[in-house]
Amino acid sequence: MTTSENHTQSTRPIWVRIGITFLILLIAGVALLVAFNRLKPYAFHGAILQSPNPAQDFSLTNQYGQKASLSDYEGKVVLLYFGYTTCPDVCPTTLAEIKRALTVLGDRSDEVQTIMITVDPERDTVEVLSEYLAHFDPSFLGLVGTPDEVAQVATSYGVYFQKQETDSALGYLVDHTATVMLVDQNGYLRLIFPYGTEGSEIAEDITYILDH
Amino acid sequence: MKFAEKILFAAFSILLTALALVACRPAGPQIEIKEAWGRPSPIQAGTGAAYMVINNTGSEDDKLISATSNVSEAVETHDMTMENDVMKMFRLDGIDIPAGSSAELQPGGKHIMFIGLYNKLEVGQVITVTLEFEKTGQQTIEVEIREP
Repeated sequence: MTTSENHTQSTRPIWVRIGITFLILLIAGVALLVAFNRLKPYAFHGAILQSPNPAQDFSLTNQYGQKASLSDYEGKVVLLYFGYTTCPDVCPTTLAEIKRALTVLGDRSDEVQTIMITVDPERDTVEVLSEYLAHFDPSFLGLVGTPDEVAQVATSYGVYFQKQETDSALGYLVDHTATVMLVDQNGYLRLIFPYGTEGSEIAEDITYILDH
Repeated sequence: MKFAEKILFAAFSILLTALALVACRPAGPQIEIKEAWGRPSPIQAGTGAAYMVINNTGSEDDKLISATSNVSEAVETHDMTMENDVMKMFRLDGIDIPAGSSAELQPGGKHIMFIGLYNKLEVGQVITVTLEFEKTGQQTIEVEIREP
């Protein structure tokens, strides 16, 4: 018996043996790769912030004329953006990318609240904000306050804004930090997306945060 | 015709053709505007922006000095910079279009800005904008409003 088994093995053609070895190595390699990828930490598209304290709460007026606070949205991921409605280029681009992120998220977009705080409280009245945001997404929240209130909120988020008098027919323009901030379900500031981050990338980061 | 005459005639013809070609080459700037589009604007009395590529295939520099349109009270050229995540926008006194070069007006950079829109700008609408160049003069273009 033993001799005949040995005999069968040794008569197995060399290419079959090479083939089997190769297959085993291939399977082992793929398994290793998969394991390695599982172990590799998720790489966020936004810049990571690790703050020991929850994000500063604020209370401003929304586009429907009601008071709204950040804490109203605990349990949701909040995307926070400071901009203004007469900004013709960067603000609409950013809001359009957020809208794209929500489209990618599909049903899960219910777990996200987008808030735009105007850095131009003199021109951006409740009515203007309402008309403006409805164009992008009716779920977007627009907040306005007195110039002092807005400045206070912006400062607490490290957001810079400055009116610039120009010879433009628009009168003044507003320089402003153009990032999108992400506050997680527990109220912690977690990520900052620079201008130009794509909607699909924002959506990926939101999905990770919702799942972990 | 003698052989020498023939040669002379041929040489003369070539010279004339070459001269004619040189004379026909566009002297001065040659402005060509492509890929013009504008962003929808959700609020009346608000602002809008248009983008395009302006080519100058001629032999002389030109400059876009102003623009007008019947959609808004004012039309200006603006540019912006991004420094440490801070967006700064500013008005330009024109956009240079050097000879053999082009200017790209695109989101996040130079753009034509409409101020004080008489009406909202909606997707699908086509608006007319007249651009005034320093040397070429006026060029009227159609700008389609669409999502970026």
